[in-house]
Amino acid sequence: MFDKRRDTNNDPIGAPAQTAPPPVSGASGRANPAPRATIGPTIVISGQISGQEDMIVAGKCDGTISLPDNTVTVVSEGHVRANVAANVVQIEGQVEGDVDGMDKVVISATGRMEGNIKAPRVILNDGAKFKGSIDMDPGIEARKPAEPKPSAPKPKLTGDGRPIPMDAGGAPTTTPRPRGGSS
Amino acid sequence: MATRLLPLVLEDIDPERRLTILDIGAATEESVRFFNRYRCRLHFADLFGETGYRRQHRDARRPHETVFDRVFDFPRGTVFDICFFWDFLNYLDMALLRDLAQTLRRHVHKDTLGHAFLPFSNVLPFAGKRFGLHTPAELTVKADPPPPPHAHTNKVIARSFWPFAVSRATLLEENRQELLLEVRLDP
Repeated sequence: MFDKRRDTNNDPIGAPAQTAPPPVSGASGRANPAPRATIGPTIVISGQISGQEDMIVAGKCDGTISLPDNTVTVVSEGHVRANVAANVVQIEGQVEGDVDGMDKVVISATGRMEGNIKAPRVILNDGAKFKGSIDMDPGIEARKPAEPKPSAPKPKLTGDGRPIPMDAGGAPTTTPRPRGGSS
Repeated sequence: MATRLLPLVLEDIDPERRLTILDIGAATEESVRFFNRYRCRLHFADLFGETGYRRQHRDARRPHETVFDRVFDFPRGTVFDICFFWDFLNYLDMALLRDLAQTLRRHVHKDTLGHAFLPFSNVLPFAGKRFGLHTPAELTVKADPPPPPHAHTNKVIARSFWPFAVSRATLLEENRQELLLEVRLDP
């Protein structure tokens, strides 16, 4: 009646496999997958969340989330009204609050965020909505000069209705004043 | 879309210097990617959106408070090195233009630079646009209606947008001009 030898991986429609127990590390040499918590879509949490595992938020969280070594993913139906500190923060849903990403913050096309981001790298995908500020410091290695200017024709300049002096090559003869950095 | 004046602002940025930048527009993928290589704080204040100045404009205000005092919520002491206005100034009537300048006066220093697009004459060349910074010499431009209702020339900006003054302007195609603004703290 049942062919127990059937290889379920050959399922042509790609039905999801049964949940298998997580592999065990140790003698087998296989590593445990990173532990991961999921806040389901009907769950509402209010308060302080901290720990040492990745977290997926599909429900609602109010308060603070502190997982500095891990990844927090707010999926499209998730709504976080909290300050979030994590190694990586992936926003596909809605976040209101300040986000501190030790490695990076990614706002996907479906993501909506209002607040301030602090992270070495921030990726904003086309379609994402963001209001606030982004504080970035990519580190010395990642800092590199802007791409070279293409050899476009030099502008014919007017300043407040007056011609701008240009050199023989057509370039302005003065350059903008150096900018002062602010803190 | 090619830009001719932004390279003057962006190409010589000292990567070790920490910059504070105001972008009066929607946060775009390209602009965030561009500034990823710098130490900077980017403030996006999407004043083109319905949640921006239009809503605030309808609300009652306290004396001496401008529309933009309510819209902007910069941390105390925020001072910008670069302000990207894109074509936003064309969305403002004269009163709002002065309001914006008054609010920003507290957030600039003597070396602050601004960048804006204006029409060259009273004919508006713009449809509504959303700008992104692809390279120092190239912008991405996407449709973002509605189109701006006011056609300010650079002479209007010179009169009504103090402390910003027109430092340079360059003509672009389709009756547009690109402005580089500098700050003159003395009126």
